[in-house]
Amino acid sequence: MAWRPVHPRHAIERARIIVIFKGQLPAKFLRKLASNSEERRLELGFSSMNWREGHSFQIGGPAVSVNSGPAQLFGWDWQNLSTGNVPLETLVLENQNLIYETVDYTRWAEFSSRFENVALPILEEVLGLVDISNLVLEYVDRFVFDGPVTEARAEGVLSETFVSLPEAARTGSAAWHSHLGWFEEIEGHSMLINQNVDAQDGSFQADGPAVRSLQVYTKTDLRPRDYENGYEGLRSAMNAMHVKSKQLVYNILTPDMRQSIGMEGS
Amino acid sequence: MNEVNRSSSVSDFAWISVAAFVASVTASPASANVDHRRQFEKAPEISPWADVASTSTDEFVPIGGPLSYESWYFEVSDRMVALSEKQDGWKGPESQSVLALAFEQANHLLRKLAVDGIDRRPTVGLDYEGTFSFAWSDGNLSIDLTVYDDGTYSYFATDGVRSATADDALISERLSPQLLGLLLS
Repeated sequence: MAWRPVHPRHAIERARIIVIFKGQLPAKFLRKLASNSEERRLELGFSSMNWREGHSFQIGGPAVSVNSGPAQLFGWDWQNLSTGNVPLETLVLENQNLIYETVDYTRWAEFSSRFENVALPILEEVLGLVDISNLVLEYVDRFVFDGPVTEARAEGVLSETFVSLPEAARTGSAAWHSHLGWFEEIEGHSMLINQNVDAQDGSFQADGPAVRSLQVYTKTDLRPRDYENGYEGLRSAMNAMHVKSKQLVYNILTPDMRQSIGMEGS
Repeated sequence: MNEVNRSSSVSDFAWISVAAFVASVTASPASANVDHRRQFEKAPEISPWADVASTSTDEFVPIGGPLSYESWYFEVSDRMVALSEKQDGWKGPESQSVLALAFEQANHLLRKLAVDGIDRRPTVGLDYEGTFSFAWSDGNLSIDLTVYDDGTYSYFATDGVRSATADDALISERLSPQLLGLLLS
């Protein structure tokens, strides 16, 4: 019985890029951009399009007010669905952020290139109105244990230099998590880093047996100071965020696990 | 399928944390967007460490919906890893080791099959040319599929009544309804 990455040779289950705006996009703009991008959506393989709408309400002040009028548009999303209608890729544009998420990660060059193909034309329109507040790169790596969940000892995945875990967590009899956050500077910008490790029990199929997994969530959240040319001015920082994320995961894994996902020597 | 839906829901994650544990220690944002908007509203220049405190127990909420794999996925992946260690000449002078991108492309297709609810386990083989092939054989059903290192695959599938074939199907695109129908039959 052993731990293994969720995929052979890599453990990345999901990757996500989030661009948060300094300001709010008007609903009319969102609607027009969706309409103008419709042809590209189909060319890019996003077979499903959803409007994101909701009612606003305010709690506090002299009275609770609830807007019971028509739903307000606050964004839309595209989904690239598998044949069985599982979302493989999602692009979300909301009035304060753009999110691109994929479960189809193969390598950084392809992921970043696909993000730019999908999102850059939209971002260029958006950044004519608002500036970038945060640029976020998120990875979810997953390692799965073959065997009873109570025997899933964390040291099968995590190196000794990782935060010392209490015995109950290390021995695998119960679930646990370790969530860390700190700031660093990268290319002159402030960057929040989160590295969260969660022991989670799940299953491969809806009614399948419980399987213990370790989810490693790595977030690099850049707060740009000065930059030019919109997203393109931050492309180098984005590459650095990827390298940093990779290093963070490398640092907490055992040598064997690094090797099994092709990281050893990187 | 080109559909336009009206929805703002965020789906659950297939990997469900042990409920009581997670509920006791993490906030579960209604959506990832809400979470990040909260950070946006803060002023990290004034008190960056307050931001760390607020995010350090965040739970990752996928926006793309639940994700689950068929149980055969690991078994077949393991076999692919073993086959990829074969060297040139592994089955005579003409046989090649796995081509540089062949493993990645074959696993890419395998992942798609495994998330599409296909419970038929394929057998995997290494071809002389250093590419992977998948096969399904069950009663009258017979499917042979070869994955190339350029992101394409070819197949012939039949159940004695229906058949499907393609020479340069793209891994990045959806499976043909004919092939899917046979795999799900």
